[in-house]
Amino acid sequence: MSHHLVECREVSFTYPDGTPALRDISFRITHGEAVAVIGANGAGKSTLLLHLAGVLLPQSGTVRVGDVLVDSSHLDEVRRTVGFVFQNPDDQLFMPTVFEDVAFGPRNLGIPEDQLENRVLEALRSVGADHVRDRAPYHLSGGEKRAVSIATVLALQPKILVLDEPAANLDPVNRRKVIRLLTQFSHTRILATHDLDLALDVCDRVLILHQGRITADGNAETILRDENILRQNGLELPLRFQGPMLPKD
Amino acid sequence: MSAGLLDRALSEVRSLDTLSRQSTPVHRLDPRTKLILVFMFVGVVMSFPPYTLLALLPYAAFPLWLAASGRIPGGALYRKLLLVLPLAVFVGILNPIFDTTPRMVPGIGSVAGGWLSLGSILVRFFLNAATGLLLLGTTGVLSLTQGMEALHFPRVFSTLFLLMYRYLFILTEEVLRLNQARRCRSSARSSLTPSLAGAMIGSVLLRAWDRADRITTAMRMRGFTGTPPRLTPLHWTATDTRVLVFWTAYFLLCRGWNLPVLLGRVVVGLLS
Repeated sequence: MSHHLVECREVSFTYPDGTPALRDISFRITHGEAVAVIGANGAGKSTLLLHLAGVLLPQSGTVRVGDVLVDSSHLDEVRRTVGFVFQNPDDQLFMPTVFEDVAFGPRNLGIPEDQLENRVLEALRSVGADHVRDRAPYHLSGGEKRAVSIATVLALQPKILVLDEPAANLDPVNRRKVIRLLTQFSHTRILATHDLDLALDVCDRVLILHQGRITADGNAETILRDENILRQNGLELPLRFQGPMLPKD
Repeated sequence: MSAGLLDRALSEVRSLDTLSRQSTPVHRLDPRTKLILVFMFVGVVMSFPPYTLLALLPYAAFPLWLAASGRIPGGALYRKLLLVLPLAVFVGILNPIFDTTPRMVPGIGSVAGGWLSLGSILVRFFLNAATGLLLLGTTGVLSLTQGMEALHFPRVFSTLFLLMYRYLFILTEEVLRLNQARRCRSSARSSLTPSLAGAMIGSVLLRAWDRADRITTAMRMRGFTGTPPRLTPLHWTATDTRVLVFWTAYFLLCRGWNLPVLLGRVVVGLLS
């Protein structure tokens, strides 16, 4: 079985306070696919992504990454395969310099010191952030922080990239840069987003989550042009399909 | 502490971080050299009896050397020291009231013991705090962590130091944002009441807890299993040995002999 495959079967999860977050979630994502998980606030998107990386474990059903079952005994293997980019880069960047932050993961994997620099610089170059290697994370702009947080994950050479709101809080230029970056990767990509235009640009498949259930799963353009489906799930058409706003009488 | 002061304190710490990226002879020293010297310095300065004042003065040479060779501007250092000065004053403020026993100071005459011990606390505070700040400003937190590890400090300690320093900024920013939100919804007359302050502190703690949880998750996602991060190896040079030997000898010399008094006697002897 390919290491790039992700499969959920009848996954359910309820938070300790009794809030049901996922109900009977089933899907299969294959090698090289780019999939957007969309839905209104509280639909369960982030909870689903945390299950794919083994941060949360399903209370019923199974999650598989490649041929590995995501459970407490296989977390190391899962985390070597899945790279998770958090919504807030400040949660991801904790070392005093960008270089040390990107090197953190490879060092934990035991990469020898003589190969480390190349690995770090390659990851930074791939996101266009090699010029900030010696800067402190808090001195970076929002766009740079986002790029570096993606680099910290790329340095681990994961097979699957999972990104939670990759363009949140970015200005239009930096948002465009992130979109360009994500379209260049050949990894299997799974991203949760409210930015439906980004979903259209990056992904060929869309999953809609509504109240913890998958209510639509299919071709990105077909689903994102269907105003009825979107409205039923508390969403709107992507901006590019909304037509000009007419002045009110 | 007001939000303005907190904000200023944060930018002062950041400026130290920027200064630590310079390349001067002091910055190029092995962090172990500076760590050993600073620990020795603090130990020796604190080992003097409580009424010592003049014998402490020659120790100012060490922070002055660090600041001059490390090109750390005096103004920046002075502002940071002022920020923490109230703590030192708080420690010794009652001494002049409770300790009125007269004591002789060479060259000055009889002084109440309380004033002498307060002066001694303030001098030690300035020496130690300035040296600590200069260590950070000439070494940087990452090199300091490397030095600690190389000196076999417990690894948990060096990792905690590293992460606490990083998250100092984020938590302080959290406090500032919370306070800004409060001020935007307060009238000019309403002040920060104890109950409101309590609620805000609680909120910051809960946010800190949440954030710590997310950070731990992010670290574990990148292979962290509880063993602190390994850092680049260090290199000890002949300059490090020379600097270490010179300052160790100087600290011991000043501990064994009261240099200002000796100097005074020599000058008086020459003049008479």
